[in-house]
Amino acid sequence: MRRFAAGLVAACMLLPAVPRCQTVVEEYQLKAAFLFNFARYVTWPESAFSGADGVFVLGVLGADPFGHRLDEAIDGREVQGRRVVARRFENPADAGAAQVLYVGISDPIALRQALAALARRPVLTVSDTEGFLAAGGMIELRTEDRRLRFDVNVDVAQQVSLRPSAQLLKLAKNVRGTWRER
Amino acid sequence: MSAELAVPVIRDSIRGRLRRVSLLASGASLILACAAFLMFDLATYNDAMARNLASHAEIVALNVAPALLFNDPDAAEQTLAALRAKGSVRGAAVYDARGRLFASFSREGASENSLLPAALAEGNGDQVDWSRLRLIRPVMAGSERVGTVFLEAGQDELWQRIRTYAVIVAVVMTIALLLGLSIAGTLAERISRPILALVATVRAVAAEKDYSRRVPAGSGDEIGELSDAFNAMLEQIQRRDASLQRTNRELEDFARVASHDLQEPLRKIQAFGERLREKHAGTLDEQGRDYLQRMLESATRMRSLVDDLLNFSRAASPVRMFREVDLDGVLADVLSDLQLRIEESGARIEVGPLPRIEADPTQMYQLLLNLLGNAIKFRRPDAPLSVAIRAEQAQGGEGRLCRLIVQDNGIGFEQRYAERIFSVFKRLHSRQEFEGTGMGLAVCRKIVDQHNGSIEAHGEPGKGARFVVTLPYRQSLGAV
Repeated sequence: MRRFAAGLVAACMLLPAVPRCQTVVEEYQLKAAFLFNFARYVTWPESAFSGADGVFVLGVLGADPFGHRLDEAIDGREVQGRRVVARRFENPADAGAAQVLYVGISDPIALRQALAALARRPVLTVSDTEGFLAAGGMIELRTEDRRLRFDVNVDVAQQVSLRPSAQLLKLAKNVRGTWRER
Repeated sequence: MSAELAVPVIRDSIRGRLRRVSLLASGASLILACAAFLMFDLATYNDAMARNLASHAEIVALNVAPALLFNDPDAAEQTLAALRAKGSVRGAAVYDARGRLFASFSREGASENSLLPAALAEGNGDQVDWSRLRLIRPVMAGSERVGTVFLEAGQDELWQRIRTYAVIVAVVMTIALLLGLSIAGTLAERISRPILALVATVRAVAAEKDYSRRVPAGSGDEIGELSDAFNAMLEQIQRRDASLQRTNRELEDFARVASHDLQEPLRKIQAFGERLREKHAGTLDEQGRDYLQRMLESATRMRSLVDDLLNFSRAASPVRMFREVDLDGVLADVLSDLQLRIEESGARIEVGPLPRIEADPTQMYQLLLNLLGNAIKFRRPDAPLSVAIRAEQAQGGEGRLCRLIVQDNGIGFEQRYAERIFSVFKRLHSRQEFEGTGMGLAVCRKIVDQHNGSIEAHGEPGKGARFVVTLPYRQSLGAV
């Protein structure tokens, strides 16, 4: 026990960049990673991948706080057997081509309009805008106790046949709605 | 003879040895079997444990992946905490992709536990030894490695199992050995019984000279064969012994009867010869008187021959009863009977104290008379005779022995004749030099034989002779 504890302490001291000390990792680097990781734990209907190339699109709508960090997070990786690409969208109507979409719109009215435009598309919408879930978004990123957490609105996701996995829901801070088998 | 067949002390009996051999054999095979079984079982068990732990580690790796990806150490620790149910797990840890500790679990009271950051680099590997199991499994998300799970379990269950085994083995061994002991005892008994019977018979034959004894019929094995051979041998000995005894008895009877029956006519020849010389010597001429004289001398010599023969056959007949004899008293009688000859020869006799022994007094008298008579007879004409008689104790096979030594400074003899002088009618000197029949020492030997003793002679020409008689104090064992 003592040695185990000593090992822990040693590990902490040798590696000061423990995840709990989050400030070291840049906020948007982490958020980019989260975007990518959501893709792992959500199942899309086959119809979502309409493009001939069948790539997995990680999109950003509106203001892009990531810059190059999103491209770094993707860096030629694959998810669900598909190559991942990053795309920026100006128009909410175009953003339906994305599978995971970061919505960088903070204005509530503009946000609602954008989400309404995407309502029928199997797009996992993610944002760190407060009240995103209330506005009809699916995943809201928040910082709590200096740690990045997220809430999930299962009902909204289910309307477009997106299926967040139980593992993801377990990690979510708050889950709105319940998953129902249709 | 019997002195050489003292009962030997058996340090290591056949029965005990057989029992030990069978116990050793069964014990050794039992231990070996138990050890092999134990090793096999423990190895199997250890393997199963390792596999069981590995599946736990893999489940943890699977479940902890999202927590790693979404940077949620609390969720990871919850996953690890599920390991608490697995009693042997002492500690576990999750590291992120960069090798930093992400979450950990350690059981209270666990000791000898440590994390191996260095081992994490290897990513995947098991360390299994007698004190602990250590497993390292990668945490994968798709084809990507997002972290590492480290799991350590104690081998307490293994040792508990070994302890249980030890108890079982001890119980089984005890029962098996007890069972083996009784079986070995029965087996040893069965094998050794004929051998012991053989030994008992051999010992009885040696001690009692009873050649009519037989070894009980044995089994069909080698010991039975040995018993049969021994019985056949005993039968031969018995037959030869009987015929020898018969021959001996016949010879002795003949000698006794002959000498006894010879005495009567001889006495008449002597008596009438004497009478002829006393009353009718005048009527004979010179030549006639010479004839008569020679005839009488021959008759005298024949008389002494017959007497000696009679003595010999008496000595040869078994002693009917031994009793306590004071050799000092016997020697005094002998000396007084030899008084005249001692004075004639001017001999000096030295007498040491002699013991009391169990013997036939008449034969002891004869023995000492013959030995002393010989010493006086075979003296040197040029030197005064000196004879010494003494006794000493000796140790023999069957207890204490008494040794009588008669030493003189007479003419002695050559050592190579030391055996021959004890034969009947064997003389080293002509009758003209020394009178006598050549029976004296033969009688001595007979007497000593009858007393289960021995006699030997040592001599040197011109220096003297020494006779050593060895007799047992007690005639209890082997007495005829």
